[in-house]
Amino acid sequence: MSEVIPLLEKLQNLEITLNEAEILHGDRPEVDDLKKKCQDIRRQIDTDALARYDRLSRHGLSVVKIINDMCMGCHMIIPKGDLNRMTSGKEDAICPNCGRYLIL
Amino acid sequence: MKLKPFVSADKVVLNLESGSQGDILKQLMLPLVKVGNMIANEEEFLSDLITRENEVTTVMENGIAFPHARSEAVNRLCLVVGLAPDGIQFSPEKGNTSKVIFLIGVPSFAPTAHIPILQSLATFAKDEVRLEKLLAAKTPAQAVKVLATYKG
Repeated sequence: MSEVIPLLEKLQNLEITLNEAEILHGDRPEVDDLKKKCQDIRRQIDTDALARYDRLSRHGLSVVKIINDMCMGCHMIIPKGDLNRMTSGKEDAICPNCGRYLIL
Repeated sequence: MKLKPFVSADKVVLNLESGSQGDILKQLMLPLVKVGNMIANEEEFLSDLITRENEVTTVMENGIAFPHARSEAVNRLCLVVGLAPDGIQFSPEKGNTSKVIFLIGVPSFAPTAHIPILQSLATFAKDEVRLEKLLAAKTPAQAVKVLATYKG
């Protein structure tokens, strides 16, 4: 699980850039290049993780930061015990409240 | 989306001077630095802006530029409006000169917070009449008025 999160974060950043480029440039060649890059990353990600990512994306961000023990997706505090287990790899880095992927 | 909450006279730069992309971005960042709490690290933000610009240009076909970056160095979502009525070369590979440049700072913990603003500004930038009004502004307050009354 932990190894897929950096890839999902990269995909999310690229998709945000793609969204920005579509707003500014419409359907120009630059936008197509970004679409291809997104597809390349998608091919590298496990289908279950990708399905979860897409499901979460429909409601905003799928991969979020933690600031002061707070999930930046749902703004709930993540218990220290959970965070410790996530950091040590004993628990998946997923917010126990909203289910978003967490960047540790 | 209304732009009113994001524009203020202290974040308008009239008569941007031409120079390298970095020089122009520094002129636009100056109001944010003066405010004090918007940017944690000027150099890091500048570097993130240039990295983003190299990824895909933020200059529209009519020359209006929207440099922006998601950055750890940005504390709050912020917008700076830069005007250059005579036009300046913002992007070396783009032929068009830029008369209006909107700098957007996006905090890394809220990477999509700027999307509604970007949409609104992009629509604004396609309206030639409003652009002319913005470029005719003689004071920052007049520029703010043009943007604040826009309901894109």
